[in-house]
Amino acid sequence: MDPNASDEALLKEFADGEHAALGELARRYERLLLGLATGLLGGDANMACDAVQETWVRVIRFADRFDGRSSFKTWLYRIAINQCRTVKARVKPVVAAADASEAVETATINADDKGWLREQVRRLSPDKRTVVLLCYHEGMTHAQAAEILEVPIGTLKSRLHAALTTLRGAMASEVAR
Amino acid sequence: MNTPTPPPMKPDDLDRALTEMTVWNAADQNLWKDALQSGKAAPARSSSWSFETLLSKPLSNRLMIAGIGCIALVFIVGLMMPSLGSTRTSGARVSAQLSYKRATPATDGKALSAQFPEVSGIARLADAHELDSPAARAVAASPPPTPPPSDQDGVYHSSESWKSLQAATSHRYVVQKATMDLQTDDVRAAFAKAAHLVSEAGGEFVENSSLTGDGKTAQGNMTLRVAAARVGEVMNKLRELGTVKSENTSGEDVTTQVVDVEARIRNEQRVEKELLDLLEKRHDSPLKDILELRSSLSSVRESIERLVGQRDRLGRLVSLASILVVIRAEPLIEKPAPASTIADYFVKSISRAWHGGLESLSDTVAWIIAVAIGGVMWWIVLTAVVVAIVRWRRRLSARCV
Repeated sequence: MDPNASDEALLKEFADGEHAALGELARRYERLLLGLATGLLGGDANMACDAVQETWVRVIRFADRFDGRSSFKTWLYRIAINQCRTVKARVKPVVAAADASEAVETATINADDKGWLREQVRRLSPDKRTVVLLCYHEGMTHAQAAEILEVPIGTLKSRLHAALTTLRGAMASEVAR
Repeated sequence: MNTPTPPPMKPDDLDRALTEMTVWNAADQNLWKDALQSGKAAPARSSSWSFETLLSKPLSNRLMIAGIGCIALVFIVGLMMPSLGSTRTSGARVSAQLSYKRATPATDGKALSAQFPEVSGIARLADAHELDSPAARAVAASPPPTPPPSDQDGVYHSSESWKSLQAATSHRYVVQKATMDLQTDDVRAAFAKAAHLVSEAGGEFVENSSLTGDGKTAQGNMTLRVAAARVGEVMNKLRELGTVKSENTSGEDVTTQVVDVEARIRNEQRVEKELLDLLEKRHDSPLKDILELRSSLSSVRESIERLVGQRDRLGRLVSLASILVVIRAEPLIEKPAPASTIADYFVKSISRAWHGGLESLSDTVAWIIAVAIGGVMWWIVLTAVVVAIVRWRRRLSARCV
């Protein structure tokens, strides 16, 4: 296995039975995926781990069906975002049924800088939330984000602008208060 | 619900804070190893060709493939419909022939010969004379008389019938028929003259006649029944009435039917005589036996009368020939059209092209309607397949990505 090989070549090697190639891909992307998943899942690290593990499961299962129409990175992030949605949808009823006092406690724990911002991001619509987190994700360009979300880049930029406007407005109002 | 505390950061720090929100600061998890070890992550080996590979192609390619498939389906349906129709026709033909073989020619042969005139001369013969005669069938199938054939269809050929048949070949009974198409300036006059050609004293008569139209559109149709010996003479006189456009004569040999009917009459008469003798000798028998004998005698006499009627009918057909005369007016000689100019030619060409185009359009629309309606079953199947593929594709995408 060549550690300098491209993502696509590594995936093909893995599809051909070379498990170490998956390790190299994980070395390149697993932390990034965990960070994004944590952001998308409201800072819940356990749920983020679940989502990323499910992402790897999908990658392993469908490695030989990767057709190269998009880059491996795009394909991987698309899987990860969908798995975050799946995990979130699966966990949501449990949260809804949870004790109200627990929710209060969680809110108190997160009542710091990041917690406040995370709460503001959570209040955004799902599209805007995904766009803003993906666009500020490490090493992600707008073009890549648009390709991952399968939206035109103009749409992506307008959503990002709207999301940032909302967040800045919230921050400004809090500072003024 | 608690309200989060106000942010100590400035709005300018928003970008940095957002970037930090998607950064993983904890230790490596090596989740890929867990995923690899879990049994459910076994790689799914795809075959060399699958719907997935087809569906993974770009949308334009998929649409093109779907379009080509639809066009191919339309043409297959279009081709299958006429071929199915011909299959049904040939199937009906075969079944009709089979049923004809099983049925009696005097009954089913009538319908069969009406529907498929080329099927069997035997059927026409039996139909024309309403005879179910073994000798008639044998002769119709093989015109020159040959020794009695083996009894393949279970029909009994009596030696007497065969002798009668051989004897009859020396004197043929032929039903003569003729048709003549005449053109003349004066249709009514020729029509009247043709009607006077029959000799009522000799039993000849006009079987039917009709005169329609007037002037140049007049047309007369007439069927003359004249003595067989006078057919040539009457035809010659008809030729003098106008210009002969077509003429046709034919003869149908009914010798076998005549011989057969006569043989059956003789046979029935012998049976009648035997029954009468029996009745005479056993006049002191029980009443029941006498009544049975009388009943048998009655049915035999009825059969004799029917056969005699057939013989008389055949005799009339043989003795009087049928001549169908069609008299028409001379056609108008069309004046040559004046030389057309290039403008006329252009207008005619455009008109012709316009009508041709409309006809083609009508044909195309009719064909599309026929394919749409005739292939409705295929469309349902195609729709079901497409819907299934789309749903499967969505489910696969939801699972995979």
